[in-house]
Amino acid sequence: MHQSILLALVVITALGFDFTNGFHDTANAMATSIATGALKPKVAVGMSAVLNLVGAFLSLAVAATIASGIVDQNLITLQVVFAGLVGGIVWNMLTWYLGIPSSSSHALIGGVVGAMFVHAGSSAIEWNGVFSKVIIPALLAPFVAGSIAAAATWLAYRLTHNVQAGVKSSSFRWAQVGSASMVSLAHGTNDAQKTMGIITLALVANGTLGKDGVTPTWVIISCAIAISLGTYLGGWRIIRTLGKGLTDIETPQGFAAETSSAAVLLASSHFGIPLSTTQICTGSVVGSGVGHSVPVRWRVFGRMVFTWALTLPAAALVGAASFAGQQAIGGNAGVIVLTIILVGVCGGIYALSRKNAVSANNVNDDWDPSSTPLPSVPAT
Amino acid sequence: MHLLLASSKPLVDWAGLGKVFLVSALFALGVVFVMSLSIMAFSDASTHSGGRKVTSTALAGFGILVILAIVAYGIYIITAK
Repeated sequence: MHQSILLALVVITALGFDFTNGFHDTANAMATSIATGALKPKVAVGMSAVLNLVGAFLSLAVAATIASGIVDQNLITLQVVFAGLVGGIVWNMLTWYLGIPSSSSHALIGGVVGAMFVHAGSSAIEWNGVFSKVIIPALLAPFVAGSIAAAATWLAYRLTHNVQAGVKSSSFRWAQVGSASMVSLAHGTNDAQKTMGIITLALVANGTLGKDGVTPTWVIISCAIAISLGTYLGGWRIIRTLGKGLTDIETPQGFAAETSSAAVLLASSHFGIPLSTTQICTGSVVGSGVGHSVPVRWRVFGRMVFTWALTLPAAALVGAASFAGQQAIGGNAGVIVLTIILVGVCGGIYALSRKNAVSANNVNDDWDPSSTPLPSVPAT
Repeated sequence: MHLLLASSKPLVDWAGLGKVFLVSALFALGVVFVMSLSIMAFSDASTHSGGRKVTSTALAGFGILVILAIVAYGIYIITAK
C-alpha cells in the first residue's frame, strides 16, 4: 500500500515538474518572436504548446534516464526520485518568480544528486558526470550559441542592408515564426522525454515495469499533455526577461537567434553533447545583440549566469532536505507531509507573483529593471 | 575530487563539442545566408518588372525551398534519435 501511494505521488509530482518545465521554457522558443511582434503573445504560446505536444510524440525512444551517469542508478529509490522532483520544482518556481531562465534539467539533476547524497553518500554520485554533463556544458553553451548567433545576426544585416526596412522586417518576421517553431518542436522532443524517463524509472524501481520494459503509452500521453499545458500557460515573467531584458531585438536578430538556437540544439542532440536549451537560447539572444552592435544589458545576463551557477547546489539542497525530512517522518506520512509542503511553497510563490503580475498584456512593455524581482549579483 | 583525478575519461568531449560548433555554425549561417538572399531577391522582384521580376521571384522561391529542405532535415534529425 505504501509503495502504491508513493508511486502515485511520484508520477503526479513528475507530471507537475513536466508542467513547470513547460511554462518555464516557453520563453526559449517564443520570447524573441513575442518581443519583435512576429507573433501575438497568446498565439505564440498556443503554437509552442501544440509543437511541444507534437514533439513529445515525434521520438518515442525515451532517452536514458535523466540522472544516468550522474548518480548510481542501482541505488535510486522512489523516495530519492520524489525528493529530487521536489528540488527541481521548487527551483523552477523560484526562478520563474524571479523571471530568470534557468535549466529545468539541471534543477532536476541537482534535486536527485542532493537526495542521493543523503540516501547513499558521496560515493553514489558520479562527480565526473556532474562536471561533464552539467557544469562544463553550462559554461560552454552560452558561448557556443552566442558566437554563432552573433555571426548570423551580422550576416543577416550585412546582406539585407539595401532592402527596404518594411520589407526586411516583415520578411524576417515570417522567417522567425518558422525558426521559433523548430525550437519548440525540439524542446518538446527533448524535455517531455526527460519526464517520461523519470516516470519509467519510478515504474522500474517499483517493480511495475521490468528493467527492459517499454514506456507505457499513458506515460507518453500524460507527459506530452503536461508539458504542452505548461507551455500554453506561458511563463510570461521569463518571456519578458529574455525578450526585453537582455537587449532590444528586431526581427532579423530574432530570426538569427532562433535559427542559431535550433541549429545548436539539434546538433548537440545529434552528437550526444548535453547542452541546456535555456542556456543555448539565452546565449543566442545575447549574441544577436552583440552581432548587431546594440547594447546588451550585461548586468541582467550576469544575474542569469549567477543563477545558473546556483541551480545545481540550490536544487541539491532542497532535494537533500526533502529526502531527509521524508525519512525523518517516515512512511506514508513523510511523503504526504512533503507533498503538502511542496504545494504550499508553490502556492506561496504563485501568490507572491500576483503582486507584480506579468501577463500577455504587459509582457512587451518597455524594460524597467526595477519591475522585475531579479536577485542582485553579490559584490566581488 | 580524487575521483575526478582518478578517471581516465576526459571531462570535456572537445571533439564532440567542436563538431557541434562547426555543424551548428554551418547550418545556422547557411539558413540565415539563404534567407537573406531570398529576402533580397523578393525585394528586388517587388521593385522591378519583366524578366528581372521573374528571375528574382524564382530565386526567392528557390531559397525558400532550400530552407524548407533544411527544416525537413532538422525534423528528420529529431525523429531519428
